[in-house]
Amino acid sequence: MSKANKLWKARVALPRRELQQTTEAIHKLGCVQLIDFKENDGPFRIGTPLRGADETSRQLVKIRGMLKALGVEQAEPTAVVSDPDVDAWLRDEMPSVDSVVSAYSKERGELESRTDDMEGELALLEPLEALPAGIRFDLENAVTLAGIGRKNTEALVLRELRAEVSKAKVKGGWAFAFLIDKRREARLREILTALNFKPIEVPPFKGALGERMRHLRAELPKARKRLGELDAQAKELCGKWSMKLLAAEEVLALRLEKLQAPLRFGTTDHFTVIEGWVRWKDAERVKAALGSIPGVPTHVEILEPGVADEPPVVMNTPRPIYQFEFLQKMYSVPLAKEIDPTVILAITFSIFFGLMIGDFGYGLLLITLGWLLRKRTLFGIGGKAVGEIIMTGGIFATIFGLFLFGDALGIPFNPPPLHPDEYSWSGIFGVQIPITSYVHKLEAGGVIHLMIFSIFAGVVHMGLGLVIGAYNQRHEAKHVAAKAGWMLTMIGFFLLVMKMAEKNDLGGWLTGTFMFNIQSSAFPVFGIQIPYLTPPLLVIGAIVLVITEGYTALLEMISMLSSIMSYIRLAAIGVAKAAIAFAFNLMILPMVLGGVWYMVPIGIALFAGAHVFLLLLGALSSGIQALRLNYVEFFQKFYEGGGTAFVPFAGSRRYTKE
Amino acid sequence: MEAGLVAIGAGIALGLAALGTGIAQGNIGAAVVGVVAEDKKFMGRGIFFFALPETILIFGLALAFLLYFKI
Repeated sequence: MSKANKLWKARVALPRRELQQTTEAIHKLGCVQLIDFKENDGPFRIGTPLRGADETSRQLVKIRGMLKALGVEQAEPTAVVSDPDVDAWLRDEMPSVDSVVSAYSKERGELESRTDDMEGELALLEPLEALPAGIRFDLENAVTLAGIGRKNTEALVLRELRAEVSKAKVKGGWAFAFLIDKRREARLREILTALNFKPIEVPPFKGALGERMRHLRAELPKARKRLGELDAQAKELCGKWSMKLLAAEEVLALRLEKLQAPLRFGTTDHFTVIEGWVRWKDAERVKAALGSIPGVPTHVEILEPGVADEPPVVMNTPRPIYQFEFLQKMYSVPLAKEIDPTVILAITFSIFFGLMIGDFGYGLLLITLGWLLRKRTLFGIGGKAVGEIIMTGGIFATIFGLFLFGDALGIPFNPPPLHPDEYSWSGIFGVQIPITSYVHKLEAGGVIHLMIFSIFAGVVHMGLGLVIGAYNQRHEAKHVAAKAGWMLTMIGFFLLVMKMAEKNDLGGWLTGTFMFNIQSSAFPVFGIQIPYLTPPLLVIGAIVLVITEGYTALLEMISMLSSIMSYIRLAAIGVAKAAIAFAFNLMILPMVLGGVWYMVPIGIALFAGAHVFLLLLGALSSGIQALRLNYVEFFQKFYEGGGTAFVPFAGSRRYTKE
Repeated sequence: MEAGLVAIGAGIALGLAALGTGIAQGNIGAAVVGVVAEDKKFMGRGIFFFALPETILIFGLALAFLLYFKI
């Protein structure tokens, strides 16, 4: 974090009566994050809201209630209004709007609950419909228990009690209604429970069963129709007032935030002290602005944060990759004392994502998709962050597709040398396209190249993580030593893995260039070639780890090997996606190129559908896996996180202007 | 004969790893759906946890590659 972004503590002391102007000024500056005052034994107490807070809060609650009742959602503002306009509207029109909306919302609430009740009752009564329509449940000295049972229920009941029984055959059993003297109801219930017969608990109503059902069936459609009318009314009200309501909500919320700010200040009877975090580069500006309010004697001082303070963090991500902060925050905001890894996350995420997609055609489509998501033009979904991240990944996918894999939409520009009769763009268009595929994802050699590269990239990635971890904890020798121990362990396992890849041309080149062939001498254990350097590295690593982190670290050492292997997913996802694309193309391309004219449009439609499906699937899985490699394998080597982001006391306006 | 056995071995390695991943993802997926139903904000973290067991599958795939391409 650069010095200009380091946070300092601003402390402002002023007479309590003059708070209003100073609060306004801080809000306007928009570069101070207020620190909540915590009551202690000292003379300061928590402040009280400024005058007008109660009224504003009441109005805000009312407006939010109306927004909710009408189901208004955030939308693009059609017109930007000013504060006085909003105040005038609140004064002159809001009361009448409020009465219309509350009448609407009251009727709607009652109607909805009545409809629900009627639907519930009808559902309860319907199984009993086969019984005589004259059955009543509202008798004075007798009780009717009705429900569905088995054929012998009646006989078993009548064996002990005298009751008047009505019955009818229904689907899944017999419907019974037992009419019995009130004094014997308890006994009848016992018997019925023993017979596993559950009486339907009919809500109380006057009159006979048949009559009630006719009534319900007549009333329900009326209620539903009225609900539909109310929906239309809400839509109309919404269209008329939603912008006014949103503007009022915005103004009132901003105002309330300012009026209630003193709840975050420490106050005595006469003085108030405001504390806040401010960037060093803004410190002078804050000092000048707050110190020069006419008529308010104010003392402003800028202090270095104390040891116990946990200042928030300004995530100072460079503009082009600013949106990757979203991915960083999804995991956790870094602490002020550690390196902010957002830049590395952005670069490695994009490279990994691009490598897994690795296709010229998909890359271009992803850039387009990212563009659409960024502007929310595709069904209104997406957002700036998601869109730009996908676009960046798409750029890398295009580059890898063009210069490394030499393919587009799963079809190589030129056929692989081992399978010269496969589909290729050169073959389809009948011209020689001068793009070389260095790696063919579906040939043994290409797959092995990708796997070796993945592992190599992983070790570089995790090594970087360990170095950052050591730097973050540079003041504690023990922790630095532990990172070194992990590094030795990682290199030990890495040599072991690379030993297997030595015979491969890429593996041989990598080990020869970057590792001076030091692992080439090895001894076999159970047929596995172990480089001479691996055991000493692992043993030294283990000793260092036991000393610095304790014996449990020994158990975790093997996880380093699985972390290295975990990077093979870069190759695996790429190959799997290419294989599915290959299969689709193998099935669909003969339709397009087969020469039967009516199959051509069908083939093209299928081709487009299959590749859109594959593109979305591939983007999702590549995105998740690229993220996971950063979150799990990379961050766990060094990252603490758990910081809070710097959020200055300021308001953003969308529907209004001052 | 040998090529056939190698292919079967690769298939078993990949298949069993996929089965294990499936069992793990089934449980995690059910939990994630529950959490997301409560609060949509956990969608991102949920998908991330859901993808965790895929490492097992990757190991299976790597083994299958190693066997099949006779590295």
